[in-house]
Amino acid sequence: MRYQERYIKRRKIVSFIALSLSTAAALLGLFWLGFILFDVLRHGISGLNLELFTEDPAPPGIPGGGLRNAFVGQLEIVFFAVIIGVPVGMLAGIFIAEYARGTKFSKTVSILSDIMVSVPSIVVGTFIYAILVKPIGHINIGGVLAVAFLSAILSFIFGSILNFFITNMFLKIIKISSEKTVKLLNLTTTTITVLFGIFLFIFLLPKLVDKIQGFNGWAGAAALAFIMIPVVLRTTEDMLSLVPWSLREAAFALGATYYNVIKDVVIRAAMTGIFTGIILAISRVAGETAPLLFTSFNNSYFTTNMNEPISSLTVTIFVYATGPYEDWHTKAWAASFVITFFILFVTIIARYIIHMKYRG
Amino acid sequence: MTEKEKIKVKNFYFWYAGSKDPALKNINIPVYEKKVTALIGPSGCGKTTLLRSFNRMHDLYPGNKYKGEILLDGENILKDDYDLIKLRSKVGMVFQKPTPFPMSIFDNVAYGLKLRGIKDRKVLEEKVEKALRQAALWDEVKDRLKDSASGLSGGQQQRLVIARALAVEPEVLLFDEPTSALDPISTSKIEELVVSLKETVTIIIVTHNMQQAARVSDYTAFMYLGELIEFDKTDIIFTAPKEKLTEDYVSGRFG
Repeated sequence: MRYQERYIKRRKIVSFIALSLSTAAALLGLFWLGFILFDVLRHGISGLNLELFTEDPAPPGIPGGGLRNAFVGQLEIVFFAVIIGVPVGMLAGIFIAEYARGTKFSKTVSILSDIMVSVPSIVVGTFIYAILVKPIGHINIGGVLAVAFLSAILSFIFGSILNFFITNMFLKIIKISSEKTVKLLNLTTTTITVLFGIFLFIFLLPKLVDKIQGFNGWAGAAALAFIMIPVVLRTTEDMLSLVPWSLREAAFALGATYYNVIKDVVIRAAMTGIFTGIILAISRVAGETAPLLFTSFNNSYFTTNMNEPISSLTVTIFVYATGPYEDWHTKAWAASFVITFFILFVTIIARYIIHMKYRG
Repeated sequence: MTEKEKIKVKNFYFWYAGSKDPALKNINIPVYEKKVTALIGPSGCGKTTLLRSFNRMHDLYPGNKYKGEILLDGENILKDDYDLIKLRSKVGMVFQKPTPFPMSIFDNVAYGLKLRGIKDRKVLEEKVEKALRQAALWDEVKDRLKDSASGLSGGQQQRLVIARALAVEPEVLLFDEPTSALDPISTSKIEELVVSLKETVTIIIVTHNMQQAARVSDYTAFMYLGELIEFDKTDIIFTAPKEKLTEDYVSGRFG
């Protein structure tokens, strides 16, 4: 009996120590997180005023002015990154999880995406620099490749939209369902898309070679899109594979085509998860500095022209925080404050949506 | 036997992808029009496999192989160029677990109709009401057609799925153990429904529950290890089967 009592006591002590250690570790992590947020808040709020959003930067060393160029530039770059990254990521995810389910190809893409998610963002920046910044503006293999790359992405988006409409129009309104016609339709869509891509290439080549010199906003957007694509792809794939297979069979049993099944049933069932993933991907790229450093670079003047170097909040923070002027430091804090709380806000919205969905 | 044969299975073999032994061996059965045919047998005997051949559900998975003929109104549905979408509008299916789509009750039932290009709201409403009445669900859901289908109980969801299959006016309806996930009251409702439905459609039902087969079906096929052992009128199968194996199974001596 005495032995047992001693043993129980020992177990209680061990349990108490384990609990204390993990609580302490959690508190330590939480402390620094709170400290960072508080510090950003404390320094940032003092620099926060209306001019920050409405005025462009004053010349270096002279107090006053704002960061309008950086806010607008940041929004523009992120907007175009989303326009490129979300459709490509989502459609690729659908392809991997549905059409190519279980094939070697789909597994390979899945693993590659996982690797791409963890590629340091500076590497992505360097890569985009090599294909979309350095060679552009000159007629050489790199420049041609860059334009080809752009045309391919744009025509791919065009083709997806076209395919969506054609499938909708022909299969729903005219009610053609024989395999041969569907194949013919697919072939037509593919041909039109390829022709569109070639046309785009011929059309864009002289334009870009003339207009874009070196650093440009498109490269920044492409770099961010490059980071978004694997994240969106993997989220889409995971969310789609959570949809029970019996739901797809039920739709097939009603005479739906695979396109109908995906559009009406699978995507609908997985939409909340995919949407949340997209929002989290956006909030991730919105805070990236490294991929923008040598793609969209920086610009102390206000511009909305994506063909020029364009200012972004994160790069501005980097430049201002390392700069010599006190006023710059204040502005860097204010910008950090805005971007941190923007991302916090977006993340909270995403979490809230998950919570709403999986509450019951 | 004066009934018309709706479906005729002739020398039918089936292989799952990557398997050398056929899952179904030399199956020959008729399915009579506007009758209920039950497929019974122990687990793994191939009854569900056979059921899923009638609407070629196996085609969703690459590598599955058929041999022989399944004639629907005299036409072989196993032909390569047989239009699967046409086949599945003629042959509807209800699964083991309720599979409501993530949309409203109304949209669930209207889904098959919309796939067929029916857009007129009036027509849709009429057909949805008719299907829900046929499935004995109308009175329970008529005030909340706009609500999400996932809010219904399991038994209601299963009847909703039956209504969804009925809305497109199929000629044949396949039931794959439709009550195995339901409570006894819901089960008896579904059974009543199956019996009432045979006025309009031909029904094939797979069931583990022999009492259920005896209650709802006109004809019964007993299968064992991928082979058809015996096919006859249900009362004969349950009272005076010709095969020893059938007698052992229906009297509960194995299975």
